[in-house]
Amino acid sequence: MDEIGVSFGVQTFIDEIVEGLAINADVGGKSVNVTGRLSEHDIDDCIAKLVDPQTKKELTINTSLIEPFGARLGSLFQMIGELETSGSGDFRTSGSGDFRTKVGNCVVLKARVVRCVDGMDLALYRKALQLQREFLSKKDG
Amino acid sequence: MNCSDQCQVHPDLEFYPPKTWGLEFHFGSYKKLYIADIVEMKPYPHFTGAFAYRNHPVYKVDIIGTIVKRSEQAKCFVYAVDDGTGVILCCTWKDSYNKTNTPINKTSLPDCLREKLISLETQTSLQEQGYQLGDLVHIKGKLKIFREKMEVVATYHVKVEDPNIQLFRMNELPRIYQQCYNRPFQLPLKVQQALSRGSTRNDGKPEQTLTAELKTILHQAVCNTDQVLMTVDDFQKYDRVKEFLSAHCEKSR
Repeated sequence: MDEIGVSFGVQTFIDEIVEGLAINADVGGKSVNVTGRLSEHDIDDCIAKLVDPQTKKELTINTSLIEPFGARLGSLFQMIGELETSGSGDFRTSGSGDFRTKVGNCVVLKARVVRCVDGMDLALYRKALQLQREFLSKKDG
Repeated sequence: MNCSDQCQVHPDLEFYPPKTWGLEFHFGSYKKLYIADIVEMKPYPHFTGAFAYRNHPVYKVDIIGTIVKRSEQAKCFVYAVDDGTGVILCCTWKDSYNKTNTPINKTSLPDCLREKLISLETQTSLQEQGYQLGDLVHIKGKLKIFREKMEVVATYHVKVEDPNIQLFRMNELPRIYQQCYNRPFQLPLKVQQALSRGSTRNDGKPEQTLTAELKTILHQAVCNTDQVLMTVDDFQKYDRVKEFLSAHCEKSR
């Protein structure tokens, strides 16, 4: 993978990243591929927010590598990039209450590839991905 | 006839010589594999150009993925394609065919043809620019090792507009693996019997060794003579050749 210079983005749901943070899993530096609806976008600060339409969990995106990308609020986007945990690690570990508000501050996806996937069947996506994971884990195991 | 000693990865699987590969019923098709599997495939023992997934010979693949890296060279585009399990490089050659076209006078054409021509021209100009980062592409092509990396040389490539196509592929792959690729490639019983009969006749020696032996014998025969042109009958006059043929062939006479 190193020779090609990019590593593959593991297809992940936003709620899984949020849950991973909640149990203090180390997600920093992982390459992921997330799909969600664009709910906020600030072109000056290169910050955007993707919301999973099914679970309503949000993820903050650093869009500095992909601007401009035809960001239309409410459209479905698929982004590949690396997760970065910002320097508030102790804040995360000390937190015991509502994670959802804090998580938004803790982990940022630095997106390097973006694609508009309007019209994608999200229920089918979830099913297909679960099928694929099940199959791959059985195959390797 | 097997060469299973060549492959340590699946010692229990039998690897067959290239002449029997056509008996695998999906041999000639573009195989739909996960990129992770394509990247890990090793060359098929005794043969270059084909790679082994278990003991299936694979030389053509069919992938759908997102472009995560692109570079343009004088004669081709090189893309890195990501399907969520791995990344592989794909080389698409530029089509220099269209460049020789002479410009057509559009004003002399009827409206419908002019529209068609314009749409065709935009299509080719888009093709010349190649695909952009993030595009979902469907690529079919042959496998090749280029600078020690696995690469797909595309024979067919198209940008996929509908994101659901990728989902269908994700749904489809586990079933194809279960029905085809994860089952070992086995020759029909009759062919196996014929092959084993052949190998006992040859004292169990594989065909490659026999060919090499015959080659050295023939080489010596050619070196010992001044004759420039030789026919098969001339060779059969030599004692060692005669000996070899009677030893290894059922009916050499």
